Amino acid sequence: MSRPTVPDGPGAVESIRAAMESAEHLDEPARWSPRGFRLANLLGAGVLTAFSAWLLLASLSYAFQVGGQPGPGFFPRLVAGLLLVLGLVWFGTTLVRAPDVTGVSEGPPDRPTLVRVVAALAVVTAAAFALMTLGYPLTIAAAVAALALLAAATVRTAVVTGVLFAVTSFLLVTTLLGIQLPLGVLRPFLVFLL
Amino acid sequence: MDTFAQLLDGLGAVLQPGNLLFALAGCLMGMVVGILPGFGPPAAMALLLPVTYVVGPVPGIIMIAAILYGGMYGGTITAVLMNVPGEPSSVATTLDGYPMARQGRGGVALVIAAAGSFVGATIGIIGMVLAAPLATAALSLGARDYFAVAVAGLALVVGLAGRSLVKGLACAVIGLVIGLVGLDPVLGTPRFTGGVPELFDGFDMIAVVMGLFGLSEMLVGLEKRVTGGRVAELGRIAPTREDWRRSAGPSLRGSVIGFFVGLLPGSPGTAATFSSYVLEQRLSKRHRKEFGSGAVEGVAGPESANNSLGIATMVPMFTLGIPSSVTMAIMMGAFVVHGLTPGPLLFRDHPDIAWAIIASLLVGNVILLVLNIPLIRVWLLILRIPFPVLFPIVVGLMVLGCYVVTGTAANILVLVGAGVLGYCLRKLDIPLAPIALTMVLGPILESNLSRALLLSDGDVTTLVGSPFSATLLALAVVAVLAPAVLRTVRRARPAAPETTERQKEPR
Repeated sequence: MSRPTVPDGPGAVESIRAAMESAEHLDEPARWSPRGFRLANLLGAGVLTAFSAWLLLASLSYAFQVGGQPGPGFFPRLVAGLLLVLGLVWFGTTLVRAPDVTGVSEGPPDRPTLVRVVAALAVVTAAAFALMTLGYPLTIAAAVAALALLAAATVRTAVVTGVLFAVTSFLLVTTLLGIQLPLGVLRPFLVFLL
Repeated sequence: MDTFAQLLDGLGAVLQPGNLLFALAGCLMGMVVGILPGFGPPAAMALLLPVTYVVGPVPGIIMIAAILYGGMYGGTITAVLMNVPGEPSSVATTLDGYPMARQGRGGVALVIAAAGSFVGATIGIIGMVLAAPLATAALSLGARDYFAVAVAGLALVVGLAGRSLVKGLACAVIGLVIGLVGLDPVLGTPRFTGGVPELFDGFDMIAVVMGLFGLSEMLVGLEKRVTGGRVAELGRIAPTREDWRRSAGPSLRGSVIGFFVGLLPGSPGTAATFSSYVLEQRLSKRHRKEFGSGAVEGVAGPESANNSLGIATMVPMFTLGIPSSVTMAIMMGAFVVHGLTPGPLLFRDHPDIAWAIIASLLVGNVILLVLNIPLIRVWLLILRIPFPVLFPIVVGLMVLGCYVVTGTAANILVLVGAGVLGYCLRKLDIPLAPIALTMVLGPILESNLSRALLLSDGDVTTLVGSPFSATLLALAVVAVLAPAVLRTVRRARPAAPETTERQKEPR
């Protein structure tokens, strides 16, 4: 990153602004095109509008008033209505005028990047489902190793990182903090730690 | 004088070995996590909060506060040595801190930053102690006043948070929606829980914040698969007498600026740090040309302002029970988990705890100052951990933290959901801060709105019925609309020649 110099006097504020902008864009992988950013905004606004419409409908199942005071449905209806209006305004304004793409710090992910991000999320989700069955040590060792591979680690580094992290964190949490972690299939072998 | 005596009592409590140990541990952990590039104090606090749950309320809150300053200072280290600010407010530090490091004066910059942070925090704490009696006055406020305070805080955050008013507002309302899940605060009816008992207490705030700020940050990092830039050399560590002399004034001035800017809910740290930077540049006669290429004043001023601001943001939480920044929202969540209610009632019902926490801020900053210098070389080692190792460890810690907080694997799914939301919002250039804030403010808004309407038999005009609430609600409207109006006015004006030239420059 080329560093802006900060001159004297009246240009100082402009230079600082430029420095802030460039600091926000360190190692940026990609930039939004105006069209792409507009489409992404339309999609975001559409999802938000649809969600808020569902929320409004769902909030109708709660009483608006109970015994003369606001009921459990009062605030949700207020919030959902507000969100619906904002979603529609966002959608409408994006449709009428393309949002300004300059100064947007994050770009769109390309396909391989998106695959990596989705895979990382899938690994964490799988860990959540496997935690109680497989137990903490096995699940977290496998998950950490898989995440390391996604971050371009070698197989050896990934396995060592996974095993070391699982063992260290397990011992620290169970012995030092006194919090029990699920042992899963390893219970017969690690029951002495409980 | 009574206030001073209570502060001394608080200091006595904090200086007990057990509490000191937790403050020390908090500072160390905060610095270790804060040093991870891109990890600001909110993510650091969220990641480490579960650790504080295993201890009692006082040591737990002391530890969280220590994690906050540790995290803030961790961001400074990456700003100076790598030119990667840990948070937006550290950007000002990179302007002169990194050039100093490239000249082999990285160690000096870090020591000056630590000393400046200490001065800033100390002045901030003095201001906070002076503001503490406001908590007693706040006891006389009614439901409509609290509603107005919450709305004003929210409006300031939305108004200042981003470039698009609609997106900022939508983001704030998303936070309110997340806060709707669970038992309603007035009658205790389960809402939007889908019959899942784990959701009766609502979404776990730690998992949401960790996902929004931490996981989404790591996912963005996964795109590039790099941790940051080259680490500059540390060089000599001890500042010269000239360095100390030159940084004394900027530290004091920066602290005052930071405190007053920090009192405004939602005020961005960059406003304080850059105001301090510009002020020092204007005031400096002999060293003005050094600014941007390694002026020590350019490190001392912004760092003091940043820390003083960090303390000042606690004032609304301690006096009114209203969080005014993301870090305060997280801290408020921690108070609640430990069975404490921040705000005027804390000073009335648990003055010992309130003053112990305030005193711990002072002690924590002394610890930070003392720890910093001998550990600078250790922090360099952390900065050199490659991304393929760092990424899985940080995500693994998040998974562990989410499980430990609630003892259910379902909380990890909340982390994933919040991570996806945070990632998408980052891509759409939508600010994340309002979500965390409104998630906490939501129940406060709802319960006070309902109570105000109940007391007035459903008369909505009661919300502007007291001068206090009417003024705050008017301010809220101004705060939301002012940035948009100013932008429109600026657009309508013919462009100045200087601006036109700048717009032509390739980005």
